[in-house]
Amino acid sequence: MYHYDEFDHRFVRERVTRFRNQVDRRISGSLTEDEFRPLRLQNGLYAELHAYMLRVAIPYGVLNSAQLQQLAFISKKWDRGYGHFTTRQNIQFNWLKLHDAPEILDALAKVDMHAIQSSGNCIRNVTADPFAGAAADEVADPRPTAELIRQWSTAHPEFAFLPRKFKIAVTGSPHDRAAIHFHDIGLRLIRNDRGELGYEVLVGGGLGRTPMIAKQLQAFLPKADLLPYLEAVLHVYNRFGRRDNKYKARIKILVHEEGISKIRALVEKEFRPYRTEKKDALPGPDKAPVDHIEASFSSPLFDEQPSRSIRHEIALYKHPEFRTWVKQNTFPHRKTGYVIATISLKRKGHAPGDATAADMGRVADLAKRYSHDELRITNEQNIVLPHVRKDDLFSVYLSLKAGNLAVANIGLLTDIVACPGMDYCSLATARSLPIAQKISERFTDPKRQQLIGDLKIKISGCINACGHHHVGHIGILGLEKSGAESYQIVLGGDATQTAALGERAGAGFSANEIVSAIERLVDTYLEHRKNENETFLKTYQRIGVTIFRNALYPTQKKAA
Amino acid sequence: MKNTNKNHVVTANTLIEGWVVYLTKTGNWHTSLMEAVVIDDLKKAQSLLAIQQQSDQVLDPYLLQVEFGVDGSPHPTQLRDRIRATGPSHQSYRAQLKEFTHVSL
Repeated sequence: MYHYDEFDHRFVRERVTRFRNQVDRRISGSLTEDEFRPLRLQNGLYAELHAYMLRVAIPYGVLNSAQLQQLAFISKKWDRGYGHFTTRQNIQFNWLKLHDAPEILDALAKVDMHAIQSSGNCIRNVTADPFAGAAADEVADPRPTAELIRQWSTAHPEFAFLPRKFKIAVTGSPHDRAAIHFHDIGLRLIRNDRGELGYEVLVGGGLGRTPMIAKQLQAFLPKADLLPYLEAVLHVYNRFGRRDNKYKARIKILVHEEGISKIRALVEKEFRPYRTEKKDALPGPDKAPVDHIEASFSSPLFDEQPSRSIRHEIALYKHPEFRTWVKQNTFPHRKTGYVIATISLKRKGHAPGDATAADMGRVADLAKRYSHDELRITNEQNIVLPHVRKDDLFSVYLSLKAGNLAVANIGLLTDIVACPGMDYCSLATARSLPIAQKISERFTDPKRQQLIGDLKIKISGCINACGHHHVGHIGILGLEKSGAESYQIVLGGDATQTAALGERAGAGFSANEIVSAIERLVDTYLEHRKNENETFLKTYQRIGVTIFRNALYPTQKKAA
Repeated sequence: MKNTNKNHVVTANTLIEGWVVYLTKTGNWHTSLMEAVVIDDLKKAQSLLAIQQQSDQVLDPYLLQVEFGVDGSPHPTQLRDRIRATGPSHQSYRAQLKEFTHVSL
């Protein structure tokens, strides 16, 4: 993985020193809150319902064990001994004090981390496929691209005050695990007919109050053209993006209002000088730093392993629970004899995405010992050990089991994505976490979950959609209606390469009604699916919304 | 929504800790709603709020509506304010609270 060079270290250290000074000035009263707010937000520090919250950037979801150990240390020393992994592959600490924030940033800097670009109208922390560098279906590793964008965008003066925040996601696989259709820019590494590497470029996707699926801006962009091309897109957005109305300021609105053809023409106009002259009309990346980045992500030294592991197969035979966990939580690796193992943070009685200091410590140890010191955070709020030998998998499982981390539910109904909701967030209009926990309790039986199969439930506590409800197979949006929580259901969303936005089912349900409503949807699916291989989403796509609506609103059906 | 309830409390978050606090009779801030001064005159409540909005020692002061329970103690009418008063409502929160006592709530 990429390690900070002297420039990075100096930049982050200076930033911490500056923020320490700003905090001191705020506490002494020489800065007002109005003056201080944008400064703290630029360093990821939010004032939330009960305390300060720090959102720490995990660049493209990649961590090593020392970094995860440091996050565990921070959670113990300055928070309540846990952290919340988010749908943008970051981590949030919910119970911090203002005067501790510089110390925490200092502790992060010691392990090449910071909280920059986790707030504000800038290019946010880049996200990527959590299986990057490991997936069997990968065309190319997206991490060097993500790191290049990180270095280009961090503190870029032109992009520090965009019309609105700007999110970029990168994948290197045809199977999209990075939700690239729902980002301001989505990049997919592909090869052209000549075998050259480049990008499919998507633009104008997003969730929030106006969900949009991104449109294709470029079918194939040569790899070397990436930064000039991104810069051209950002020029167009910075110039034409709406600043008069924050709800219409994202690039998705610009693309929607102007049309993709016009946006493409504007971008081409900006990009043309670079393409025709290939010189300094737009700054292209120097080759040496790019080579350095690429080299940082060279493959670990994998052992040559046979495709079958006798040890693994014996464990599978003897331990049915391990068999279920392997089936549900592991994924094909590009190297023979290895697998990708996903650790579920969706445990009974825990908030989705929460990990205690002990959890983080255990997982960090496992990464060090069994996964070439590498970890990934997923946009579905789980943790990945990307490179585990099949020979070692049972040992990993036993350790996870001892730490209550061996829940075999990845992709199943209880692998629920949820934002912090009104329990923590000052923007929320309803709670998310208790709803997720109640649904998990109702469907707690692992056999029932297996019977239901793949089903993604995503819950947001407000229209801003941090819980990605628009792209849940079943999405739940918590709103406030006449002083009470009201939960709207959307159906049929899909965050993958077959991107789809969920369709609103109808009137909302109360907090007491919503779990039974979800159960009616699940029962309807089980009743109508062709066979056990037809997933909830496939069944929904085949039979349509009406049958599910009738299940949700039986009295309306009767009246009709 | 029109603010017609006549019982109000001034609330904010502390600058240093970010803790939820309520204005007391003595003009100080306290972390317990039980200690808050309940004002039944909206104009008076608004003028108290205006004074606190000038303060640099708390964040985002505002008026919250309360009603009195059978025991005479004030209870926020809005869910958000109830969560602010009693802490997160999800299951794992209480366990977290037991283990870590050096933060508010």
